[in-house]
Amino acid sequence: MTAHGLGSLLPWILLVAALAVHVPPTSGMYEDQIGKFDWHQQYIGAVRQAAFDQSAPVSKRIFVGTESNVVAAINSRTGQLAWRHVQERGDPWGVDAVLHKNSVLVTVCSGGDAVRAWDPASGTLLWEFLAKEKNDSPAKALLVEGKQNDRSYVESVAVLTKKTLRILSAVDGHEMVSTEVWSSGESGGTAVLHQASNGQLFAISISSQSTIQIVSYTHVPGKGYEAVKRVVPAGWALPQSTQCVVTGDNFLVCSEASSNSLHTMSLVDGSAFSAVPLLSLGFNSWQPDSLAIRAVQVGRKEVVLRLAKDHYVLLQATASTVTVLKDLPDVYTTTTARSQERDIMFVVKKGSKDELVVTGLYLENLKEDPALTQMIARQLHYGSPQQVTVYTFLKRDGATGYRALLQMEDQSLLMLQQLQGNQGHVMWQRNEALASISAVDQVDLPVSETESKFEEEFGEESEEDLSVWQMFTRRISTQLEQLKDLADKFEEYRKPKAKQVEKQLERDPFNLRKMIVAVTSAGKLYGLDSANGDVVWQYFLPNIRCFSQGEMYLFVQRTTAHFPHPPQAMLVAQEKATGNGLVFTFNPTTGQPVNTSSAAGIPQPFKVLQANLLPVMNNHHLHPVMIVDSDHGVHIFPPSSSVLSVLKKNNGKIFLHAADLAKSTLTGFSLATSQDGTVELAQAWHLSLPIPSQKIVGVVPRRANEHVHSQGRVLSDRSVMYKYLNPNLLAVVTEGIERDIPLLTLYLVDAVTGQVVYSMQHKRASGPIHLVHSENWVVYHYWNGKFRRHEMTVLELFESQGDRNSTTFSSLSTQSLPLVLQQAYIFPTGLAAMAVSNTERGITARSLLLALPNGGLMTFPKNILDPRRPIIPTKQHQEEGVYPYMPELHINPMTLLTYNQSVEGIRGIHIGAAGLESTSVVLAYGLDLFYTRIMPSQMFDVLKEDFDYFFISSILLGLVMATLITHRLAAMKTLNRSWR
Amino acid sequence: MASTMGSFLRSCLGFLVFLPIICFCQVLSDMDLPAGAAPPPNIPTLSVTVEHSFDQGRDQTFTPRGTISWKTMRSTSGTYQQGVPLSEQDRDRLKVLADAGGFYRIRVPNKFGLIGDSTDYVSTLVRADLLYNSCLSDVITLNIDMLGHIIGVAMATVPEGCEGDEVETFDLSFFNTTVEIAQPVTGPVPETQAYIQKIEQERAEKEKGQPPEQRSFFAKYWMYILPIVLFLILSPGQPDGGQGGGGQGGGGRGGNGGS
Repeated sequence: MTAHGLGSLLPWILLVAALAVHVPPTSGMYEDQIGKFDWHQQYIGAVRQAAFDQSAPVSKRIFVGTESNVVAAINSRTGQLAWRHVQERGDPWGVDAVLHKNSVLVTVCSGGDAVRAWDPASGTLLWEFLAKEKNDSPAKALLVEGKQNDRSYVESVAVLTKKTLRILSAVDGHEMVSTEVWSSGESGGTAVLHQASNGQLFAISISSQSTIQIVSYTHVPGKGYEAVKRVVPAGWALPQSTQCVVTGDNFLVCSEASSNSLHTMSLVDGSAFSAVPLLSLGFNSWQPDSLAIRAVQVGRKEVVLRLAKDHYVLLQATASTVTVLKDLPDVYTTTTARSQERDIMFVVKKGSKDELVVTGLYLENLKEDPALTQMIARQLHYGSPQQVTVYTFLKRDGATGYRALLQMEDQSLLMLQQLQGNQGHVMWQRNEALASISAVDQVDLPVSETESKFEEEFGEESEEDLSVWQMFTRRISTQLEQLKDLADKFEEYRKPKAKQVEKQLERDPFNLRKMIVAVTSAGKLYGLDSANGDVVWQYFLPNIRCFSQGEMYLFVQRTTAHFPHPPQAMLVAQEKATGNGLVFTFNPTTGQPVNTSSAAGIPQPFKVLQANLLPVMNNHHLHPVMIVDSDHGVHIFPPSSSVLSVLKKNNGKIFLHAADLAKSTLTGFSLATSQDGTVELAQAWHLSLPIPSQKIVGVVPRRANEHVHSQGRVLSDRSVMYKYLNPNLLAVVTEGIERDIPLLTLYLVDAVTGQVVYSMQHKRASGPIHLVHSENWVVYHYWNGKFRRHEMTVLELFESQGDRNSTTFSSLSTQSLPLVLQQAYIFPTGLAAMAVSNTERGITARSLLLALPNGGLMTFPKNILDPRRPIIPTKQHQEEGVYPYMPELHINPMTLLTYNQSVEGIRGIHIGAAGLESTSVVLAYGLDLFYTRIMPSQMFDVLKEDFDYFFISSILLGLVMATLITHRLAAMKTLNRSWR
Repeated sequence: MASTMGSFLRSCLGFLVFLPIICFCQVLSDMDLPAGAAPPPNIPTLSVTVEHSFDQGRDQTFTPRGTISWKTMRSTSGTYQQGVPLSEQDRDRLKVLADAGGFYRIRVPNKFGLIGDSTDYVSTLVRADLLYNSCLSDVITLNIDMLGHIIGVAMATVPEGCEGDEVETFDLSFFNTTVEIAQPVTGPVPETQAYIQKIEQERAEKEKGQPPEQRSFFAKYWMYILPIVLFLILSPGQPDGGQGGGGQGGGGRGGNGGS
């Protein structure tokens, strides 16, 4: 009976055990661990439009629309985000318009396809209007005002896109009017939307046929809008360089940058433009791209013309004349605000001592008010001001006060407030450039003072040319220094100083704290403390931009390990003006340029094709950077003879590859130094992929200097499958259409010989493709169009002929192709980014990091993605620890590193190795920044937090005591016995 | 009667013998051949020219080396033919290159068959000393696709290619080349069918392994009943109220008597 009972219980026990085995180790966290190792920073991107809240008597918020397609409200006192909504992605210009009046807040994005109204206080969506025009230029929009009982109110929203004019109700967003602006066949360029004081709407478009079309819409009660169209010839107008505004008294004023002239006309009844050359006003614009015109304020007659980056003119126009009201030299930007029934124009200008001055001048008499002037010290890392928005209020004494929101050249936002006197004060600032990081690295911090002295003692330099006596004195002196340090520490411990002296950042024992070096597409460089995300240093290079693929090259040439040499990093970017390369070397822990003479970087006389960190070191422990120009010429930085001698030693052993995305070819080069000492590239191999069926979308090498701890995999029969560890292997992904079917191809290519090690095709599969390549495996994620689902495929490569029996791999003498195992899985969602964990020694099991589109960041153990998972598991598989195959992968909420937070718009994940083998540090960047630590194999090298020190030490002490006591007792006993 | 039956069978057999030959002819006519040209069987129809270079540095000049040909799009191997032997000059250049540790390069056009002339080449390199020491024994792998593009070429040397220990330069006039043709394999798909089959099989096995319940009530639930009975037997008797009915009281007493 009992035996039978056990027999029927056994399946249950087995099931429970099987479940326990199948559930992979998860790394959930406790509630009190939130924010202990991780931080999250929310950004909005470069601001395009800003408006102060008017819905409450005291303005607490600033509504902004940004280039990163974000609509947000910023608390105007603290700079924190009150609310934030990320709009549809994909437009290079970001949010088209932010319209705010009284309690109405409407935003237009996607070229006029999405119009949304928000509740200003809470940011909840009130209504939205969606169209499907797919325009490729930003739309113009304004709030149409109606009058009722002598009070104006927002009646509707007018949106002028490239094709249509729409009028939407401000109450619920329903489409009241939709008219085609152009008759069929025509198309327009730049457009202006204007509402005259009598309520008439004007849509003005410049066509590519050198005409200007003016459509006026008059509201007829009961009948809707009546449109009257007028076409005015304008032979001078070019859609790319012409800008137009309408003044408060209905004159149309256009500026034409290529001919440096202004053209004016009466909007209501004019039939031809009258031209006014800038020279006749006594001005000229030397920077053609900076000529821009805009109205001072809705309803005012004046217009502001920008002549240069820091030169404005205030003008007044009639149908045939233009008069200069005031010349505004040294002015960066202007805005207008209203206070106590007077219109004030605020200007931001350069002060006499190169400080920034914000001042106001009354438009009625063009007099500056000294009471409205404030000055702040100018900081070079902000660049020059780009845009200003002002909010005026009444102070307690009845005078006008104001706050100014400045948007700087480096995309940061500054909030200025006037203090006593004319002193300005920066209330808060936001580093919005961090929303557009294009290159990032995590650099080890320098060692502490004591340790560096230790290094000095055993400094490896000039060891040979020191005599014994000199070495002895050096040792004694450094050891005395160390003793002094120790004494200082005791002193500090005994009476801690009231005010901690600001210390330089130091490396912690486990090297968990790093310096995050981030280069943004705005040309701003940041050094962030990885412990809390604070900005440690910032540096601005106004003359750089990304390369065509949105990348910049950031290399750490020398780490902090080579004391007393300071660490050194190099940035290779594109110069804005010429498109040539630009090289900037700096210290990554302090942000200081290495040469003060080249503080803005060194422009190079060539275009950059590729830049690489060479795997060799010169005698200053500096890795040289090699830049290949577009003519396949080679440039070495720093250009020294020692680097050349190192290269000569490695002649013909350095290979590199370049992919031509347009031609879909992949070419390998070998680096050779010729007799006369110049370095040149010789073509080594060439692959040509057919277009359009196989367009290269990604070339992923293995991480340089990747440590792989285990060389093989032990099977259950004690045999070993050796990993195919080719350090030169590239994973090349192509995407395209073959015979009307989407095709995805993966090639594994040896980068030295150009040998295609493996090739594989997925029919009816397409991108976006995310691929990681590490050790002997490749994992990639793609869309399967046949089954309409996301899939993940894993490839693992093993040696086909047992062990290679050599410690180093050489592509040139390898004969055999690897054995490839592969398996595919269904993944429930798409991905925003994918990366793989990386530790110092490669002992820790690898884990994938997946950025989900909903803002989660997830760890995924690599051993779940194992091509050896069997459908029908045997005992051998169980012994080996291989999970049975299940076609679908699941997202376990416990593995979300972001717990309940959403990290918006992740574009990349950077992983650094900590000093602890079990731990990697992870930075996810995109619109937001998120930083945390991961332990893919748990913390096997650190004692647990709840480790019972007291228990262990008391037992040890007890044992020692017992030994002593028993020893004594035994001695007494033998003594007594001998007396007997 | 029997003879007619026999002749019918014979004719059937005859047809069966002919069938493979007919099929073979169809395969031949399916190949990518220029129309009209009736090719004699067993002659390879797809071919490319291999060129090689002994130059180092940026400017490399390639000279014809031989022809690689293979039969059909689905071939996995091909043949190599060399028209003229390697000239003495080239042999010396190879020797010099091998001594200097240089590279020997080959290239082939990136298109073959009927899709037009090629302007671009795919190329690879191999260490010249390895080629020299293997007496020009090598394996050339062409990566092609179904449309007639050559994506890449790879070359490996065969270290066991030489017969003697010493390599004599005058031996090196003909290449001993093996040709392999590789095509992309089809990528894996999630094995949902196999997994569902496995689940169904497991379910079926479970159903088979557990025939419909035939055990009695006690056999099924003995593990629940036994503890209850034991509990009842072992529990100490309640203080006897006396108000209880006679029958119930009797039962209670019986329980008490048992403990």
